[in-house]
Amino acid sequence: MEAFVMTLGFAVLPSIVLYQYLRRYRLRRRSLREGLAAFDTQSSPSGCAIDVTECYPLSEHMIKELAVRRGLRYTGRARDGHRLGPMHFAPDREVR
Amino acid sequence: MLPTLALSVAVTLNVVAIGAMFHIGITPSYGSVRARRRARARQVESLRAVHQHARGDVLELDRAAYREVPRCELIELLARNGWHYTGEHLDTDSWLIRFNRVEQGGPVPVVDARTRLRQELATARPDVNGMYRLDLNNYLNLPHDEVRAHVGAAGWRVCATVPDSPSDGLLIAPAWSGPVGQQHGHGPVAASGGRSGDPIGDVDVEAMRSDRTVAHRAVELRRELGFDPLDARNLELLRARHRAVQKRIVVPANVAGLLFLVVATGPLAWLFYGHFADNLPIVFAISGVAAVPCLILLAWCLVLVKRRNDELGPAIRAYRELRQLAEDRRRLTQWFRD
Repeated sequence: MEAFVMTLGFAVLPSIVLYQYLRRYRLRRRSLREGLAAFDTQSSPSGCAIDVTECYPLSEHMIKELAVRRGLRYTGRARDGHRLGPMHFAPDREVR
Repeated sequence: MLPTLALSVAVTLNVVAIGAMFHIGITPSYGSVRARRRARARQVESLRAVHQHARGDVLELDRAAYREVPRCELIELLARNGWHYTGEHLDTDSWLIRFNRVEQGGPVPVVDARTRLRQELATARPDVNGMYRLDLNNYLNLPHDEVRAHVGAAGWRVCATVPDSPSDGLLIAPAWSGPVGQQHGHGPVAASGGRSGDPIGDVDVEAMRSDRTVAHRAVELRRELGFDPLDARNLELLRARHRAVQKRIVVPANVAGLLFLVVATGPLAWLFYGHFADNLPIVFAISGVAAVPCLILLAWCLVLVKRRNDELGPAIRAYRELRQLAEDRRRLTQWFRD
């Protein structure tokens, strides 16, 4: 019993870390198709906030280029704690 | 021997895991700033090799392979080497940028970053806050000092930097305008409320009622919410209700925090300092017993938070929206007055 509890206790932190690294690894292995699909689900013509991590193989530059094709204008990102929040887009009235 | 070995392996693993948690915390999951800078240098370098080894008259670049380089910079770099941008091909699983080789002596129009920056600054117009947000990620190959010099030469001045990635952006204002940032705090960056525990913030009901757009939106919201948001009594009722609900959440949350200390102290003291090594079962028993109410209280807190958000969320969001709208309207009228 004691050994079981100890093993369990010692396994908590490494398993959390392992899970995080596995998530990162899976993210890095994503194909362009998945990234584009993630962009499609998050973007909307009336303005949207796009999480860069979700669309992984797409970089910020690529996301902005895609958004411009859809008539959106980049309006910046806010700092969310010590890291950056999602990219915000507004409809570009000059294009329409 | 074997238990000692297992224990040391486990302790080592946990120490490594703590270090790894710091690593996970400080690096974004799509790469650290330095890694991305290196990747960018590598991609620009490989572009040179690609165009040198290209045989035919058509060059197709995989956009994802040059993800750290903006398209305008790709076009500029290849134009310098005699490639003319003809278009993009984008479908569900490929993204290609196409270039044609320009014959020797033919004209290759090169639009470099300086020209683009001058064009952007010439067409830029300040927004309602009197600012223009200059995205420096389109000009990554220009030194920051040079960008600032161009900004100054175009009749703008730099007010602040705004967070962005991979490079921060600049908030610029026309040089002839007064000290804009001082009247309204920091322009668009100003975010108040939340600190004091009151999510509604300062609501000036009378000023909102006198603005036609805000009043109109308030009528729409009244239909959705079932009460008039511009009635000061309703605002007081909402604040009182929020205080009461909050009081019921804060107490179990604090108790859960204290219980978590009880749960964690014993095992951590044993792990790091070797205390209680003789009566470990008791330590773990205390931890286990304290963990039960801790988890129950935590779950109860989550239930209460869910209930609070279901009950008061729409009204709080409505007030936030009205306050934002009133603030925008105020700035707009000020802008037209100036």
